Amino acid sequence: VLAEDGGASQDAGKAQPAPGGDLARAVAALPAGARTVFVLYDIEGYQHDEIAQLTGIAEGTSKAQLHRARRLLREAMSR
Amino acid sequence: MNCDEIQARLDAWVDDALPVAEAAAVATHLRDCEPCRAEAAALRALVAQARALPRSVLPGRDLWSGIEARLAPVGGTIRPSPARERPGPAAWRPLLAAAALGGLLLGAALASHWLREAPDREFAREQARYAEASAALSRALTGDATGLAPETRAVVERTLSILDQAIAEAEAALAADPRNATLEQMLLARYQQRLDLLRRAAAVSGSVS
Repeated sequence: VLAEDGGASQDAGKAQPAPGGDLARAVAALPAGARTVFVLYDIEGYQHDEIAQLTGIAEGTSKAQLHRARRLLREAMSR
Repeated sequence: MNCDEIQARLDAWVDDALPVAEAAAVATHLRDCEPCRAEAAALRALVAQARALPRSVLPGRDLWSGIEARLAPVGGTIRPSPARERPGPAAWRPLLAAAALGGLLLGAALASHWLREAPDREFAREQARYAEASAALSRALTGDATGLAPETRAVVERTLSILDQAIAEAEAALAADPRNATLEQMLLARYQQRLDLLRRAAAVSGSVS
């Protein structure tokens, strides 16, 4: 959950390594905001306006978090 | 467009969310730029991989359609009646705030369930947070000035009653089998349905777009 994100929520700018290239593990290591948006958009299929309504963030923030999540995941998966 | 401008648009391009002219410009650039093309291919691969993952326990998109049909006038589409075109946004503010809070909490909880089985303490904490949000929603709904037409409010309350029964049954089942992750997911899904209903009811009232 968001509140339990621990070190990841501090967002050092990098996702944690993903052993075996496991996308699920890489998603779990994302900072909370990026993880929530990524799961809702890319996995659950919600649109940015819906995510904004659901989570209370701005639509632009949702797009920025998605971009950030995808970038971090690609970095993690390429290791 | 240069490479930086292309990179900034790749997310939207992969999602088919760019205006036609911009999408064409990106496509043209990608034809001639190998590094950007590789970026786009990697992004597409990631998105395809993510979309192939199993969805979590969030309610299906068609869940609302049944409820919406019940809220809609017979033979018509949902449209605020004259009596509720201006439902007094102040009356809905606490409801919407609670719905937003509940949605956030449930979204986080559901995401957590997708990622891994939440430890018992996490589930208990989310359950407590839901109870808090739900209480606020219930208080808002019991007021007279909710902005809902009486017949709509009656339908919402009946549907809430059905969901409450389902929640009670899921809670009872979970009490008998407290480590059952499937039951936890079912219960969270019922919570989400209840919050969705309230949020949608607010939208139907015309107080939100």
